[in-house]
Amino acid sequence: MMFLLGLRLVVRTGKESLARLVLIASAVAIGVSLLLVVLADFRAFQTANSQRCWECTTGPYLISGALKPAANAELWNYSEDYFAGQPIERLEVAALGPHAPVVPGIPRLPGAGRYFASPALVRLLTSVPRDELGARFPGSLAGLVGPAAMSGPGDLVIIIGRPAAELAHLPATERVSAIATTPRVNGTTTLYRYGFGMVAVGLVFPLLTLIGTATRLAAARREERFAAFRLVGATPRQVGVIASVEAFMAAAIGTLAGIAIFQPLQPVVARVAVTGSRYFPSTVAPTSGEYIAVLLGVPIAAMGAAVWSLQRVRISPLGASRKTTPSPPSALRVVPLVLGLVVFTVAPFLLTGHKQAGPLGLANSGPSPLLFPVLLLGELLIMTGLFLSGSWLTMQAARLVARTANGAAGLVAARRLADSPKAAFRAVGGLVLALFVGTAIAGVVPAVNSGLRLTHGGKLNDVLRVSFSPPSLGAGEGLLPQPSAEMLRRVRSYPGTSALPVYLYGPQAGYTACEGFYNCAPSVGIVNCRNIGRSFAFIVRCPPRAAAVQVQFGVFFITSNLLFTPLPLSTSPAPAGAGGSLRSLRMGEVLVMTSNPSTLEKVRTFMAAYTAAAGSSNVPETFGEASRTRAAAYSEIETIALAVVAVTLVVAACSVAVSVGGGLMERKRPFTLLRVTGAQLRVLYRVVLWESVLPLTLTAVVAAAAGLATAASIMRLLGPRVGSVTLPGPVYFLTLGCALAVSLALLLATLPLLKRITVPDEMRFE
Amino acid sequence: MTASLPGTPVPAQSLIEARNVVKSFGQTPALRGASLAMRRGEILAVMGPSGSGKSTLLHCLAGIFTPDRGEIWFDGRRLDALSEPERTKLRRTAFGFVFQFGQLVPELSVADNIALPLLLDHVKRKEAYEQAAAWLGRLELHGLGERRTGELSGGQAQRVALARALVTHPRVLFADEPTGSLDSLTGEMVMDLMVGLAREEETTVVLVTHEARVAACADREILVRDGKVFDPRAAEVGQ
Repeated sequence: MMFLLGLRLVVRTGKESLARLVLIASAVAIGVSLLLVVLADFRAFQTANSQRCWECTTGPYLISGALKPAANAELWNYSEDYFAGQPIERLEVAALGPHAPVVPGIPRLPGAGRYFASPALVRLLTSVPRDELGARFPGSLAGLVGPAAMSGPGDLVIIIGRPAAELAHLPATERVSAIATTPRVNGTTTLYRYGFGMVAVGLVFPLLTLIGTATRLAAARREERFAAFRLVGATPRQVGVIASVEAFMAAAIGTLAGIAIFQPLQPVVARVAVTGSRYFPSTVAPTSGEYIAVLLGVPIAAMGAAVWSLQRVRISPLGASRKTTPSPPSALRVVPLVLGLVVFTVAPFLLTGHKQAGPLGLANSGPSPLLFPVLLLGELLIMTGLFLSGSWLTMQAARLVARTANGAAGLVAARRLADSPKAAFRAVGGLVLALFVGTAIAGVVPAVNSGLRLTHGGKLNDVLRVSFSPPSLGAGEGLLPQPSAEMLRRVRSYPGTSALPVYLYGPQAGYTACEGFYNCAPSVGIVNCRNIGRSFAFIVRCPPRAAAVQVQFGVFFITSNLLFTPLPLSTSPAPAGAGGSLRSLRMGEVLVMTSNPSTLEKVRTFMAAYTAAAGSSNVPETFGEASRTRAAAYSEIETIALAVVAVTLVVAACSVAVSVGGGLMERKRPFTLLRVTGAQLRVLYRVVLWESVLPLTLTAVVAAAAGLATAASIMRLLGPRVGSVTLPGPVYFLTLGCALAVSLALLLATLPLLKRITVPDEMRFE
Repeated sequence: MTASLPGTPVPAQSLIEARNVVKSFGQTPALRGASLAMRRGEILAVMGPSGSGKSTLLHCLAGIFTPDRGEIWFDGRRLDALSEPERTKLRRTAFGFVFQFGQLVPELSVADNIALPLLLDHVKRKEAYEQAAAWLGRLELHGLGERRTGELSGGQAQRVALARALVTHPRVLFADEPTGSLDSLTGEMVMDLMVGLAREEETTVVLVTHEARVAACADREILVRDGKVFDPRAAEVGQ
C-alpha cells in the first residue's frame, strides 16, 4: 500500500516532483554509463588476459637430427621480432603427423612455404618494402590469423610453415604435442588487474556520492511533505517506505537510461586504447551478470541513501528538524596532510646515501631500507589528509571569499559554502584522491620517459644491439668466425652504417648469472680498438696505443633501462693471448649504428639469419626501442590515471551540479525574492557558479599541488639522471581542460532550472 | 461608488497608478478591472478578505506580475510596457519589499542581508556595509549584524527585512502582510518603525493587510473584493 502511495507520489504530484525525478534519474544515468564504461574496459582486459596463451607452449628442445614422425606432434619455434618499435609474434611450425595440434585462430597448420598472418601484419607487409620486413618471413600468405590468437586487432602475429627437416636444425626448436591452454599472464597483468580494481573502487565512491546527493535533492521540501504525512497518521516506517520508493524509482529509471546511453558509447570505448592496445569491440562489454548487478545494485544503493538521510532528520507531525546540527570542521583535519607532505619531502633527504654491502661484496650507496615504508606512510597520510582537510579548506576559502567579495553573488555563495562545507566537499571528495594520484603520476612519468629517451644524450637510441650469445645457451657460444666476418662486411656495406663487434674470449666470456637484476657479475667481451672509432667512443674508450680492451658489459645488452649504467663502460687491458687474433674468435654481440630507419629495418631483417644460426633467441633491437617499450608501459599507467581523473572529475561535477540543483529547489523562495527585489538573473547564475566552481577548483588545485609535491620528491629520489620535475605534459592539461569543460557544461545545465523556478510571475509572497 | 478610474488622466501628484487592471491565473480571475492612484509619500492600506486579489494587485503595481489587460503607471512611465530587465532594474532601484516571511537569505548574516540590495546595485562593499550598519542602529538592531537570520526572533527578522527594503531609499515600499506572522505587540512596533521611517524618507507605501489596526496606520484605505477596488469610506457614506 505504502509502496503504491510512494509510486503515486513520484509520478503524479506535480511538476516539482517530476523535475526532481528527472534530475535524480539524469544524475544516476550519467554515473551508471560511466561505471559501465569502466566495467566494459575491465571485461575486455580480462577477456584478453584469460585467452589461451598459445605462445606459452613449450616442449623438449630438439636434439639436432633426431627427427621422428609422430601423429600428434609438431616442431615449434617461437620468437619475438620488432618492426619500427612494434613487437611481432613469430611462430615457425612443422607438422610431424596428421593430428598435429593447431594453434588457436587458424583453421590448420600452414604447410611449408605458407604462412598465416594477423590482419594488422598483412597490412604492414603490403605497405613497407620487402627488404625491410617481408624478407624475414619466407613463403606466401595462406590466410588470416583470427581473434582467438590475439588480444586485440592491432596485434602483429605470424605463423610460418617450414619443412620439418629445416626447422629441426634451427636453434631453440622444440617438439610440441599440445598447445598451452593456460591464460596469458605477463608482468603487467597483475598490475593492471589491481589498477582496474582501484579504478572501479575509486569510481564507485564518487558515483555513490552522486547517487546519494541526487536522492537528497530538495530534501527539505520533501521532508515538509513527509511531516504532513505524519500529521495525518503515517508512521516513521511508512514515511521511510515512501521515501525509499521515490529514490528507488528515480534510480531505476536512471540506471535503465544509463544502460541505454552506454550502448552507443560501446563502439567508441572499444576504439580507445586505454591500456596501450585496442581490444576487439565484441569483448568491450560488461557481462549480463554485471548488467544485472548494476540494474539491481544502483537502485538499492539509492534506497539505502534515502533511508540513511532520513535517519539524520526528525520528522514529526509539526515539521522536520535536523537531529544534530553539523559542527564546523576543525583545523585538526589538516594535520595528516601537513604531516604527510613533511614526511614525503624530508624522507628522501634523510634516508638516502645509506652505505650497504652488495651481494657481490661491493659497497653500494643506496636508499635506507626504511625509505619506502616511510614514503608509503607519507603517501597514505597525504591521501587521508586530503580527504579529511577538504571540508576545512573549503570552509576557510569560503570565509575568505565572503570577507572580501565585492559582489552579491560571491557573498551569497561563499556564505552558503562556509555554512555547509562538509556537504560541499562531499560532492567533490572522490576527485581529490584521483587528482592527487593522477597528478603525481603525470608529473613523474613524462620526466622519467624523457630521461629514458635522452639517456646518455640520446646517442644510444639508434644503436642496434644484436646478441649471438644468450644466457640460456651458456657461455662460450656465439657466432662462428667465418660468418661473423661475412656478416660484418655486409652490414658495413649499408650506407651510413658502422658496427662494433664484441668477441668472446676465455673462461669469463659471455654472461654470468645475476644476483638481482642490477647485480650481475661483469660479463666480459673483447673489443678491437680500431673498430670503436668516433661512433662508439661514448660507449667504449681505449687507452693510448692499446689494440684491444676487455670490456665489462654488465647488463648493457639485456636491460631496457640504462639510466643507471654509466658510460663509457669500464675497461681493462685485453688478455695477452687475445690481442692479435680477434678475427679468429667467436662474436658474442655486435652494436650497429645507423640513423636511417629504413636501413635499420634492412639490417635487422638481414641479421635474423645470423642470430638464428648462432642459436640466439634474442631479438635485435635498438636501445631506443627497448626504452620505448619501458616508456610505453609507464605511459599506459599515466593514460589510465588520467582517464580516471577525467571520469572522476566529470562525476564530481555531476555531484556538484545535482547538489546545486537540489540547493536551488530548496532556496526557491529566497532566490525568487532576490529576483523580485531587482537581482538580475545573471547575479543568481553567478551565485550558482560560485557555489559549484569554488569547491571544484579549490579541491582540484590542492590535490594537484599535493600530487606535484609528491612527484618532486619521487624525482629527487631518482636523482639527476632523469632531470628535475616539471609540470605535467600537455596531455594532462588537455585531459583536465576537457574534463573541466564538460564539468562546466554540466553545471551550466542547471542554470535553466534556476531561471524557471525563480520566475516572479509564479510566486506569491504573503 | 468604486475607486476605479478608467481612462482618467494621471493626477499631477500621482506617483503610481493602476488603470482597469485585469489579471487571471489560468481560469481563475484575480483582478477584474482594478484601478487606483497614489500620490507621492502616501501610505495606502489595501484591505480585503483572503483570495480577494489584494496581493495580486500589489504584485502588479510592483511590476512583479504583468497584467493581462489594463495599465500600470509609475512616475509617468508605463510600467507594464517595460521589459523584464527594465522592470528588474526599477525594482532594484526604486522599490522596496517587505513580506510576511521567507524573505531573508538564510545563509547570510543580518548585515549581509541588509547590504545585499546595495551590493546588487554595485555599491562598494565598504560603503554598503557602512550603510547597513547605520540601518541596524535606526531599527534598534544593535549588535545583531553578525547573527544568522535563523537566530532572530520574528520581530527582529521583520525589522531586518524593513532595513533591507529601505536601505536603497526606495520611492515606493511594498509591504504584503508585514505583521502577519507577528504577535500584536511586535507587529505594532514594526508598523510604528515602518510608518515612521517612511514618513522620514518620504517613501510611498503600499501596505496589504487584513488587520484593521494595521490599516489604521495608513493615510488612506482601499478595499479589494472580487478583484475590484473599492473606497470603504465612500461605501460607508453610500450606505
